[in-house]
Formats: sequence, structure tokens, C-alpha cells
Amino acid sequence: MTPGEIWAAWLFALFSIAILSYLWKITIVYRLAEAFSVGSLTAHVVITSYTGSIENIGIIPIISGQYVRIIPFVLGLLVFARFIRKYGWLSRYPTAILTGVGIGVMFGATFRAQIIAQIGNTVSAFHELDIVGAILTLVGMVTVLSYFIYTHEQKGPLGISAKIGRLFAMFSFGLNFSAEIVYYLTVMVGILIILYDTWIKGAILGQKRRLSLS
Amino acid sequence: MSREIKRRIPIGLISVITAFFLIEYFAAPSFTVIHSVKGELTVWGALIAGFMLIFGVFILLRHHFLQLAVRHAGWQDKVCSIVFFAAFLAFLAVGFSTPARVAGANYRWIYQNMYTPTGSAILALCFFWCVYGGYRTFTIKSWESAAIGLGAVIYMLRLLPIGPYYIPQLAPFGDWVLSTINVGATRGGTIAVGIAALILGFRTLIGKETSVLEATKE
Amino acid sequence: MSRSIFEKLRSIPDQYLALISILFMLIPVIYPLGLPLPISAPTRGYYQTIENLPSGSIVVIDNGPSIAQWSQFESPELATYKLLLSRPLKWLSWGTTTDGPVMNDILLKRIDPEKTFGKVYGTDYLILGYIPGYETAIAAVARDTHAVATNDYYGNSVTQYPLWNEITNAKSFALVISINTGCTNMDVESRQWYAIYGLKILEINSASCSAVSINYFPNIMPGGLWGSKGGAELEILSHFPGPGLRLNDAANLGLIPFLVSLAVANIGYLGTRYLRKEKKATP
Repeated sequence: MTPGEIWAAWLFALFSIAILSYLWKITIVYRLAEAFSVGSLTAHVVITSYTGSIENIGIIPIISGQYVRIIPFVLGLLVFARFIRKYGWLSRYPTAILTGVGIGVMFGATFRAQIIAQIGNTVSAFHELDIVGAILTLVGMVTVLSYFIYTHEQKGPLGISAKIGRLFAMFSFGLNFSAEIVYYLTVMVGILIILYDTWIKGAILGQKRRLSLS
Repeated sequence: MSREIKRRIPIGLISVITAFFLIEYFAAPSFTVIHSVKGELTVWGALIAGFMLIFGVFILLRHHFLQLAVRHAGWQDKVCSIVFFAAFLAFLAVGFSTPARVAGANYRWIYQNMYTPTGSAILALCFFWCVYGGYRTFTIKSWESAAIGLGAVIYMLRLLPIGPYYIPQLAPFGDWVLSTINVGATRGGTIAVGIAALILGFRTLIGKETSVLEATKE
Repeated sequence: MSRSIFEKLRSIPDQYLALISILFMLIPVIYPLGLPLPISAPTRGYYQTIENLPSGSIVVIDNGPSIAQWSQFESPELATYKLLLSRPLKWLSWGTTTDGPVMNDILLKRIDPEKTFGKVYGTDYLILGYIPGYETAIAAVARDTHAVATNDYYGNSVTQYPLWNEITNAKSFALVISINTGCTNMDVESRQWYAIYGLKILEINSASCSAVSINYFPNIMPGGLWGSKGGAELEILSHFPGPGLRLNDAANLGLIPFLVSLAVANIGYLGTRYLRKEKKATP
């Protein structure tokens, strides 16, 4: 391993172990590593937001003649008016534009993508060989939807449907929970692999190992 | 007039823009002006979002500055704030030192070897919190908790190679359970979310959705 | 008052659980088990969709992973880039998160497309930087790609690249590959790409989102890779070995302490409940 790779392996180990020391107890070592992480990520957000948005979409087009971009540029600067109590209301204008655009891009397409397509997919499952699965999917969809009806008291047939919907939802939450825990497990195992391969075997024992992150 | 400028016009702006986007969604492709304006407005949104992110950073910087300079915080909090500023300024300096910005070799090196391990390790801690939480609370007390437990165990064993290795039927069964029972439930949730999104959009259209503007004091 | 064995079973200290879990995780890291991995239908669909793309098609990659989830995204992304670069396809990648283009660049430097596959940056593939706004940014890219970028990720003007001149908007793309960490990602992508332009979407996401994203399979989302398992499966299918198989194999024993602790906690709970009932029954 090159000196740079050895340095990298030691840094990786240092920061990983500092954070994982939380498992023993919260110490100043953990807190310092956490503060470092937040500070570095904050700088990263500043650099990428400025480069990708303000410079790429704002400054460079304005300089090259797209003067219409001056309007959103000024609106973006108005966001900082919130720091001045007397003029804080000015920041409502860029917020309004962003909110309007955000809801606007979502509004029209929701009906097709999240409602019609989903119902269509459920019905088209009946064309497949697995009829039992298709029936289960349809029953699950209808009963879970009935569980979300709050404008009517959940009694009688609606109550039974809502109870079945709850069972389906809980089963799904179980699947989600298991997927979540496997996800965190693989993140942890990924760290252990890098520590073992590059730090212990590479940097400490001097065996030839590729730094996994390079 | 003051109330109009400070409150009603922004709410009206939200409604007008939402209505415009709805019209644009249904407009034929031949209405090029409407589509072009929509495209330009989305770019405006991306630009304003960039400013909002930087604004959020300013809030964080202000918090740490006050922690250092003003508040009666313990020495550990002050040292953490110093480390925060040191990391922030160091990364900022390296990032802006070359025209390539974050694509530069030096920045890439420090980002990979300093931020990545801390970020990953913080995420990895969640595994242990899941284990602690599961151990303390995951008891089979009712039909619902039994349903959660059953779903969790089946899919957990399916996800790792060891499950299908010892129980070969687990692979097709786990996939079947995922794409039938689970899909039924999540599809119901997706449709419910879609309906809620439509209602939110409609409320925005008629100017009823004002919570976005409430955070600013007049 | 002495505690019953059942109460003791329910109060094992957290540090012991953590230590036992780490020990079980370490075993397959040091001694790989090498267990076979069955391929799931979403991964087959993912591979088949890319294989079936006509020659010269342009793919857009909405690149939004988190570098903190390196182990989740390394193998599926690597396998995808190798698959795309080995085919007569072109692709444009842009960041929906700040880490997307960074990871993209790191992984491509490892692959070395020009040396390995003979692909040229700017002609066969192009990387843009991060564009904030998520759904708003996707809508902007889909509507008019040229309006959202003047420079590429490396700070060079995009107009010099031949690929940039082949792209105008969503109609230029044959397929969308969405890399993201959020479980509502498919809701967003299906709204902006599928509902408006009819484009199908392949997803790469963390393992935790497989149970949610599967909703869209196979009509809107012909395939998906979730976590290192998806990456490992694609490595097998595409014959491009990578880190996914090792990582997936190493995770095999890590859940055993968790499952045992669940069983122990439930035994403790049922035993405690039984003893309480007994105590109430006896006068």
C-alpha cells in the first residue's frame, strides 16, 4: 500500500471507531467525530448547492445573457430576509414560488401514477397464473384503504374490513422492518470488511489490499 | 395593503402557480408557450431551492456561533462547535480551491476518508438500536404483533443467502409474500397517499393551505 | 426481591447484545461462507431491460445515493455502470443528492471506462453535478435538460460534448435509472417520468425500501436492485464480479443474535406473564 492509502486506512479506522464507541458509552471522542461529520457535510452541501444551482443555473446564464434568471436569483436572495425581523415577510415570496412549483409538479401526475396505475396493476395481476396472489393483493389493497376511512365510524362491515386491513398493514410493516434491519446490518458489515481488509491486513500487517473506497 | 403584500399575495401566488401547472399537465403538446413557461418555472424552483439550502446552513452556523460566543454551554459543547467550524472551513477551503470543486482529487480524498466513515458508522449504529428496540418491545401480545413478527422473520431469512440455503422453499415463498400480501398493503397505502396529495393540491389551489407561510413572523 | 429467570431474560444489557452481534458479524468477514445466492425476479427484470435496449439508446440516471450508505450502493452501481458501458448504449447522469455525482465519479475512476470498455467521456457518457429540488429538479431535467446545466460535474462547459447535443428533454431518453435512498422515490419518479412521458424506471435503492418500491413492479418499474443483495445478484447475472457477493455473504450470521434475542425476549415475556397469573391465582 502507498503511504496515502495507509493514511486513508488509518483515518477511516479512526473515524469509524470513534463513532462506534457510542456502543460503549457517549464520550467526547464520539461527540467530536459527530461534530466533524456535521461540519464536513455542511461544507459539502454549501459547495454542491452553490456550484450546481446558484452558479450553474443562476450566475452563468445571467452573465451569458439569460436575464430572465435575475428574477429567481433575486427571489433566492430574499430568503435571507428572514434574518431581519422587520423584513422577514419578504421571504414568503420565494417560499410561495417554491411551494407552488413543488405542488404543481406533483399535482397533475399523482392521479395517473399513484392511483390509476396502482389500481390497473392490481387488476392486471388477474391475467397472470397466480390467481391466489392476485386475490390476496386485491383484498389487501381494498381493506387497507378501508382502514384509512376516518369520516365514518369503523363499525359493522367497515370495521371488519379495517381490522383485516390492519393485519395486512402490520404484516407489511414486519417486512419493512426486516428489510430495514438487514440494510443497517449490511452497512455495519461493510465497515467491518473495510476495517479488516484495508486497516488490519493492509495498513497494520502490510498485506497487499486494495482500499475499498478508491 | 400591508396584509395583502405580506400574506395574501404569496398565498395567491401559490394558487396561481399550482393552477398553471395543472393546466400545463393537460395541455396539448402544441401549446409550446405553456410548456416552456412550465419548464422555466421548474428551473426557478431548483435555483430557489439552492438558496434555501444555503439558508439552512446559515441557521446551523448561527447556532454553533451562539454556542461558542454567547451561551453558557459546557466545555464539551464549545469544543464540539470549534471542531464543527474547523471541519466546515477546511472542507470549504479545499472544495473551492480548484475549478473542479468537489470533483478535485484532494477534496475527493478527504471526503472519502473522513466524512464517509463517520456517516457510515452513524448509520451502522442504527442496527444496534433496532436490535435493542426489537429485544425490548417485539413481544407477541396480539394478532397484529404476531403479523409483524411473522412478516419480519420470513423476509429477514429470505434476504440473506443463509435462509434459502437451508430452506430452499424460502426464496420463492419470500418473493411471493413480498409481491402479493405486502404489495396489497403498500398499494393501499400508496393510493391513500395519492388521494391525500390530491387533496393537498386542491386545498393549495383554493388558497386554504397556508401552513407553509406560518413559520414567518409578521 | 430476587428476580425470576424470565425477568432476567428480559433485561440483558445492551452492550452484551452489541458485542455478541459484532462477533457474529466478524466470523463470515474473516472466514467467508460462500453460500449461493438465488436471483430474484426484479433483478432479472433489471438486467433484461438493459439488455433489451436498442443500440444507441440514451439512458438518464437520476443519481441520488448517500455516500454514508456506501456498502448499499457500491455493488449495484458498479454492476450497473459496467453493464451500461459494456453495451452500445449512452447515458447521462445527474445528481438528485449532493453525493450522487461524487460516488459516480469515484466508481467510474475504479472502472476506467476508456481503458476497460473503450468508452469516451462526453461521447458515450456524461456526468452533471447536483441540482437541488428533487422532484422539481427532475421535472426541470425532464422538461428541458439544457436549461438546468451549463457546466458538467468537473466544471467544464457541457456544450463541447457531442452527447449533450443529442439530448434535449425526456423524449431523448429510452430509460430512466433512479438511484436513491428514500422509500418514496418511486412515487416521485413515476410521477415525473412515467405519468407525463411514459418512460419506465429501473430503481437502485437501499435494502430497506424493497418492500415499498415493489409496488411498482413490473409495469412501471420493470426491475430493481435493493442494497448489496441486488448488486450481488446483478454481478452474477452480468458476469462482472464485484464487492456485492462478499458483502452479502459476510452479512449472513449477523442476524442470528437478533433472532435469538427476540426468542429470548418472548420467552421471558410469556414466562413473566405466566408467573404473574399464578401469583394472582394463589391466595
